[in-house]
Amino acid sequence: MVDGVKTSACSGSVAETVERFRSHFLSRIRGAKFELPLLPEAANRVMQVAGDENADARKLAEVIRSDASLAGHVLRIANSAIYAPTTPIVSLQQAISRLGMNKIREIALVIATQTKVFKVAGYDAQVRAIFKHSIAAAAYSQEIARLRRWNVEDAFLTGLLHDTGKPVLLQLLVEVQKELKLGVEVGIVDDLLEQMHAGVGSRLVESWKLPERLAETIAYHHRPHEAPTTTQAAMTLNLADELAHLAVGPREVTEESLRTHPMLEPLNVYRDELDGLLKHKEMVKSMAEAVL
Amino acid sequence: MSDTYKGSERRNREIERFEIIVIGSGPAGHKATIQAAKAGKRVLLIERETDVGGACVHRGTIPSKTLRETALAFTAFDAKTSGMFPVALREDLEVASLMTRMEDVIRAHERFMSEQLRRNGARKIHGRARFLDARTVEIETVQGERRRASGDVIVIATGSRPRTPADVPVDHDKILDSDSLLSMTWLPRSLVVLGAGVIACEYATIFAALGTKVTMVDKGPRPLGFLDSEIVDLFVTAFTRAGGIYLGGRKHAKVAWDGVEHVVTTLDDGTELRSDRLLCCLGRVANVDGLDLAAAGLAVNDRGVIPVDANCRTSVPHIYAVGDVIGPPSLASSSMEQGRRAVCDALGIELSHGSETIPAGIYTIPEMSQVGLTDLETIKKYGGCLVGRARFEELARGQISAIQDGLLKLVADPGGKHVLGIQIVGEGACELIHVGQMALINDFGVDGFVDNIFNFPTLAEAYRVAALDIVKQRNKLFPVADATPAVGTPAVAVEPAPHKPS
Ligand SMILES: Cc1cc2nc3c(=O)[nH]c(=O)nc-3n(C[C@H](O)[C@H](O)[C@H](O)COP(=O)(O)OP(=O)(O)OC[C@H]3O[C@@H](n4cnc5c(N)ncnc54)[C@H](O)[C@@H]3O)c2cc1C
Repeated sequence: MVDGVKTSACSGSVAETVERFRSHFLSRIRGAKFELPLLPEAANRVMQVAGDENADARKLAEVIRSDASLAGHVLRIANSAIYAPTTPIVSLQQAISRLGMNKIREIALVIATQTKVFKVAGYDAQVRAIFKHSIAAAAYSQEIARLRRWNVEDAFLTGLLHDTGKPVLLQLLVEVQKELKLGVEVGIVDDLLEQMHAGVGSRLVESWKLPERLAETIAYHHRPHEAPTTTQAAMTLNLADELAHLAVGPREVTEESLRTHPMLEPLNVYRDELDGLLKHKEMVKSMAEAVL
Repeated sequence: MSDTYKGSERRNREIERFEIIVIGSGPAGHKATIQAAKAGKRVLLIERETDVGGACVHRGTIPSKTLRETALAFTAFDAKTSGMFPVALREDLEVASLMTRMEDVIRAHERFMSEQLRRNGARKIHGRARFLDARTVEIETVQGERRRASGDVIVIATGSRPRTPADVPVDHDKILDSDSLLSMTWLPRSLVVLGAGVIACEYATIFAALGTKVTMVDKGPRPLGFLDSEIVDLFVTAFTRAGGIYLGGRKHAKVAWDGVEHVVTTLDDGTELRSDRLLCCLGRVANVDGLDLAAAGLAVNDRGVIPVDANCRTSVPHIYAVGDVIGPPSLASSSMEQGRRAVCDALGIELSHGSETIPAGIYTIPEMSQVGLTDLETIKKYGGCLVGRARFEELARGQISAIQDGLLKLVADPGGKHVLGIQIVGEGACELIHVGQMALINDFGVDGFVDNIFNFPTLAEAYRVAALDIVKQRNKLFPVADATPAVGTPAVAVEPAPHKPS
């Protein structure tokens, strides 16, 4: 249910409405220039921390690292013509090291004041759940990478950004529903999100000039075996995604199902190592809840 | 009860028998397995990682040498063009882009090793092994299944891993060790290296060549205490010229990430270093946890390694230990030899005399290598020595290839007849050493180098130049050639030359 409008508010059968909606939505998506909106509370936090000259740089770095949208925008701007790095900036840490905290502070303020804020009435809770889930996925993804001695920064970033396609799609869905003056069932919205978020997220990351491997990892996080070059990273993200659902949702996952997760074997995660990851659950949960 | 459960129960009770079981598939375990299979034995190799090859292929030798090749191409271009085309790596470069060939090199080597196992009919199980008793091991697979195998002979080749002191918070992200260093995303502008052993020096010089500001910290007055100091001093000169700093006689007091952009390393003399990244290279520890050595009646010694005899046999006669798990020299080359040796000994296959002359090859920039005795060791043993020196810049090849800081030292007995050791610093040292090694093993003699002809222009000519240097000194000391004393006769004590090259 959206804006109190039930499915097929207009004439025609349910199937026809869904089809009309879907095709309109798809045409909007094609060629669309996505922008990732900011949660109002993230904007507030940045204003508070970055606006205060005396505030701890560490605090600001933390705020940026714990919000997918902020992190994405920082990287987008760090890679833009204004700063014109000789080669693209590929991680948050690198952006901070190269630009210095003062510039990062400036950038954060620009983002907080100029980025579109989420206006997705009816979906607020869902959007917050996605952001919370992303923090947890970033935390787990980096733990798996640490365990395997793989690239921790990449793992963190792909975890943080893997679902950015969802809020973007939701925003668009709401707009399309308004344009067509109809509402669609939550189930249909969810289906569309599931089907399309990986691709949209990947396009978003690409548009920020982040390395192709990050975009590929995100594109394939639900079918890692098909990733042409980043199978390992996509598998890591796939497992981290599931662990994040276990820790903070939104999907319900049991420990039992994680013990037979298909990525454990290819990632060579032994039983005690999985136990080690599962032990982080409370820590990850409190980390995600501290922010959202 | 489910079928799978019954299945694994059954497998649990069943004990598969092998003539030889090898634990670990690094250079030591791989060679041991191949040797056993070639002898027609029923052999089982157990490896906990998905792929075979061990630290050598996946976390050490091969990856570091691949990155080194890139760094080398870079410095060599600069030197050979006399800096006419100033090259600088772009800032913000991704580390992965410097190692595009690494994946291919690793895959090729890993494939070669796997294929060799298959061809020789060795069985391989992917899982972790631990002892249940002196003859039986339990294997835990990644799926959580447990199975058992027994062996008439068991070879432990579980290798080593980086040591992490409790006060260095290694997070494999900003504070790294040699297992995680190459996973870094971008080339750091600055790197602090704790330790000054082989791995520390290799990485310090590789990153310095790539343009990173490297500071090495170690308690020793100079790095690589086990090497000839004259050689090491030249190496330090080259490292310093590349922008590196060696802080000797110091130790870290505190290492911490500042939460924003730097790793802050405070030294015991109060010096504070700030760097993008830190590499902790403070030694290695043997991989014995989880093996349950006690169940087999074994224990590690006070250095944390498994004690063995000359043929790598442990205190339990049918159990052998080889490679890094038994401690120094901890080289891929010596590990392979130990693997082969252990299995030959166990099977009663006759072994040629073990060579005492294992060369050490250190792939720093510039390379260093040595074999046999140093001047100081020779004096200690024979009461004196003669040392011949050849500087690479005095050789035509050295000039053409613009090799700086190259030196070959030929160490002879006090009579100046027999070659007892060779030390080399300079590009090509690790290959060049083998000429000397063969001369040493076959007691080829100093004069052999003078009387024979070498290709021109080559670096191998350094042998001839150094031998001539010895002959010159010998002729001065013993004007009548025949009167030279034989090895071991402490006739004349000749002090080694001062350590600073003139
Ligand atoms: C950065 C670096 C650079 C190096 N460069 C050189 C060089 O240039 N030249 C050189 O000669 N040497 C070099 N070395 C040293 C060389 O890599 C080691 O000496 C060599 O790999 C040791 O071989 P190994 O077989 O004893 O152990 P490893 O190679 O460590 O292999 C041990 C194997 O045992 C497996 N294992 C451990 N425990 C278990 C268990 N319980 N059950 C099943 N499997 C287990 C491990 O997974 C591993 O695969 C370098 C090392 C490093 C780290």
